[in-house]
Amino acid sequence: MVFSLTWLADTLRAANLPVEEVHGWKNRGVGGDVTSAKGVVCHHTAGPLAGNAPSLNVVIHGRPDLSGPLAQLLLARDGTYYVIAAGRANHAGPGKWHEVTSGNANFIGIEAENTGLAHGPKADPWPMVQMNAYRWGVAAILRKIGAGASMCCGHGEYALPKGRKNDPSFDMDQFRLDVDACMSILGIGKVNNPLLQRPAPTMPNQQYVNGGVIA
Amino acid sequence: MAASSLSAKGQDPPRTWAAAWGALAAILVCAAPASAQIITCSFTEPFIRTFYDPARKTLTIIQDVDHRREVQRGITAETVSAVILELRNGKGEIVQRLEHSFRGSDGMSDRSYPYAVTWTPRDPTMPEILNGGCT
Repeated sequence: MVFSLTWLADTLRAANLPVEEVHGWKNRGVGGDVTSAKGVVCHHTAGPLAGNAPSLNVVIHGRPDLSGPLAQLLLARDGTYYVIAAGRANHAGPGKWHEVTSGNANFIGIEAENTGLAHGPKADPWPMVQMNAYRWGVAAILRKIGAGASMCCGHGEYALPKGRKNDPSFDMDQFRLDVDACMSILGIGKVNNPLLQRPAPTMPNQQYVNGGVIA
Repeated sequence: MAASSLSAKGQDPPRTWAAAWGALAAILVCAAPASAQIITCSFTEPFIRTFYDPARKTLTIIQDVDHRREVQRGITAETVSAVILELRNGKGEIVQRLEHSFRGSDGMSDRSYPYAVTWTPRDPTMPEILNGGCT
């Protein structure tokens, strides 16, 4: 079965983002299709500190008690998007965002490789290249589906009851502002180079860390 | 119906007693595994499963991404109320608190688990609290 989100790889490439297509992604999905994508849910894997995309295998295949795929996309630490599934993924669980209550059926899930920890032996500041890819990738997807930046939410914002999930570990309000700025640039065709090695336009010289942004 | 009539009239007491003992044995056989049943909990982000074995008093933690396995011993289960079960470590600290709410969630799928669980790993390499679902 070929699913609906087969445009994902081309859309990300068109934003000049590095893309790796996981074998069989156009035929991969669990529980149906995402026929009418309404937005994006941002996640972090809370996986190991080492490696570029150590959670990739689990996100593709799931595990015995939880069928994969566990997201449509995995964003590696070097800013590469691994395209995993064109169909529905088990990524959102129960929750609500802008009156949408069926996250797995309506939202595209992006798992970003990060421990999610700000302190301790697994503290993991977000690499600039990964955060830029996160903003530009979400902006490109939202533009493709005709949604605004407000239709990008964090898993922790979506999940109910409140507090059940806490990912991703950065400030989603700031992230939506950045995505909005990226969408403005995408909208007027200035995307020959999506500034992968530079910060997003709204926050030059700033770096994301877990829980917020530091100068 | 015929057997019932016979028993009521006291005409076949051995058969009645045999049936009663058979039923009791069946209950005990079915109940025994339930009382020693392993509690399996599912967590995501991080992708972890835990298995509590009440007979061995162990909590086995499996990290799915790097295939790490840890066994914590001396974990006891305490029934706090009709719907709350707490797993405690040797210091008496609550490790996992399970609520029989039928609203447990692994956090990513749409499946509802019989138990909702809050886990406090007390591990600097893990989040302070994880929520999940258990069977």
